[in-house]
Amino acid sequence: MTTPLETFPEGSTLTAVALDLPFDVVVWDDPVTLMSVVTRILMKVFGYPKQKAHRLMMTVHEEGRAVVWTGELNRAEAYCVRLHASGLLASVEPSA
Amino acid sequence: MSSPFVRTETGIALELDRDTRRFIAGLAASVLLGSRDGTHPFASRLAPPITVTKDQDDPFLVLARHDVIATAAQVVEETAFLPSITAEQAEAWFETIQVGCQALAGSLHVTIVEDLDRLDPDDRTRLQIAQWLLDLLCEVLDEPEITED
Repeated sequence: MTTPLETFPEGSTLTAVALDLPFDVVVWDDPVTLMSVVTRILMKVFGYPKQKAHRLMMTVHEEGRAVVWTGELNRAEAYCVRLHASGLLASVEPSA
Repeated sequence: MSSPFVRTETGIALELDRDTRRFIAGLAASVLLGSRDGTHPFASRLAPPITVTKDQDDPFLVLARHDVIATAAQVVEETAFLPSITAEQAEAWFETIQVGCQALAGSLHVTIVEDLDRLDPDDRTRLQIAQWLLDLLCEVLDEPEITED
């Protein structure tokens, strides 16, 4: 996989550039979590309306994963921690 | 069958039998243990990697996650046998049972739906009870609060 980390301008510092790039919060499908539970957690953690949370949950269910939020690394990691603490499988990765 | 979670003016009444309460308290205790002891069967699912491109996640984030999970699990342990809980405590129940359900599945090496078929009937029942409780908690927590008029 090619990540933005491989395309740094020469001389730039790794941390500074990495922090400026957008990162995705990804929720992964799993065989035990109920659809209603995924929807509710997305509403609670991100404040999404039910319709949007339901649509994202369906993407997780049908495609195995969904990007549920994109933005700066610090916030992405904080959201991911909330999702883990709520019992969802989630991770942060550089935005494609 | 009526739900054992009933919204009231002061929170949520718990009409659960003793065995179900024991199950919930035991799940919370396992979550608490798993969050403290890296060798516990629940541990790996309680502390997955956060940022996939980093060699090591920020220790502050890892600690924050541990604190949130452990605090909610403690609330559940302390309230599992009460006649009623507040809506805030019910959120802790929701999170802990979901975290426990995930961790239990992880400890049983359930990664795809087909893995559920090969489970011991007792283990499958434990997962089903957790899912049943979560479904009902979702319903009651989505109900509007009852206010005095």
